[in-house]
Amino acid sequence: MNDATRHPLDLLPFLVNGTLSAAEREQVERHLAACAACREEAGFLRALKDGVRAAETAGPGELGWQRLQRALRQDGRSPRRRAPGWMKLALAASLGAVVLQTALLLDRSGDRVYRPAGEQTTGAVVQLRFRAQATEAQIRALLQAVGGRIVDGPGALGVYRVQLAVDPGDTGALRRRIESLRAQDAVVTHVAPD
Amino acid sequence: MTADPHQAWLDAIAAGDEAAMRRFYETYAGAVYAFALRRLDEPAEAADLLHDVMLEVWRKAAGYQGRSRVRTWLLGIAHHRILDRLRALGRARRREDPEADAAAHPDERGNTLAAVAGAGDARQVRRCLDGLPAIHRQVMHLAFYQELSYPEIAAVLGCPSGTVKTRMMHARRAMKRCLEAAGLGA
Ligand SMILES: [Zn+2]
Repeated sequence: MNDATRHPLDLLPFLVNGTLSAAEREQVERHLAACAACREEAGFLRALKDGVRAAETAGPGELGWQRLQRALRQDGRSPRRRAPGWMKLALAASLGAVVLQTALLLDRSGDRVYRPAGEQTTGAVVQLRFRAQATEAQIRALLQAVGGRIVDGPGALGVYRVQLAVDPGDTGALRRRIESLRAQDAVVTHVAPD
Repeated sequence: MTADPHQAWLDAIAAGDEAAMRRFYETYAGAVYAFALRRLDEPAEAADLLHDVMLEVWRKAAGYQGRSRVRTWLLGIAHHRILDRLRALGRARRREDPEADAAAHPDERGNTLAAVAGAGDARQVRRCLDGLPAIHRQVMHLAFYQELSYPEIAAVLGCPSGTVKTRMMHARRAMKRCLEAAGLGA
């Protein structure tokens, strides 16, 4: 292939992302030195690469980890930990899979994120106000990530009471959970212990 | 056996080391999530997919052979799950055929300056990406966000290297047209 006649357009994106083999890179760079059109194209691709990176949104972060961590601990393959009482309860509840009319608050897999008031509760409860613009999907993801269940609300000020999968006696865990909820300021505006 | 630090990391995960898994999650969750979002479009779907992929890593870390980079291995797992999910959602497309040849010339040079300006606006880039056929969006994402080489992208997608390059050329051409319009007007 003659460098003078063939524009290596198929390789330019991979020059820009720095993944060409040494031989390919040398070939492309030699071409670029002599071809203004390809230099211009490479400049565009660099801008495009930056744009694509900037366009990506952040993932579920810490909340996603907490959700995963719960699954890992229920997975059975990890070195056995004794499941705390609340976890057995949560598991039993999800196996029971009572179908609620509040379909909006149901997760696809049937996990409950809404527990009607009056039902027996054991986890710590926090007060939570959702941002008006928060979507149902965001709220659901947030509740799932913290193992939260709405047990009451909304009150007059739009405050919900949410029970977390945290032993009420474990103040350290509760504080960490509240901190991670507060960090989700796109979804919640207010978090406080009940 | 090997000095591959990733191998030791995956071995620890395979042995049930939760702290190792957490580090793994912190390192790669963003990559898997972004990759899934580019195909599934919905944040909740992408979050679920990330969860499932990471759970699979937890269960099958022993299957990592060290033959490919961890990122490539991981995105390969994600790719298969995405296809399953699209099928379940009834959104699996007919094999789109993008192989019609892209002219190997800096064609329709148009206004590259305007396209570069357009590329500086993340919102416009996202809009233009959304307008691409999914398979083109995907290679662009794998090359520019995940920074994979074209053989690595081919491994993730299970297609020939030539196909990756062709898709990439289609994708950048469509992006250029779209961003040029954005850079000139709007
Ligand atoms: Zn050229």
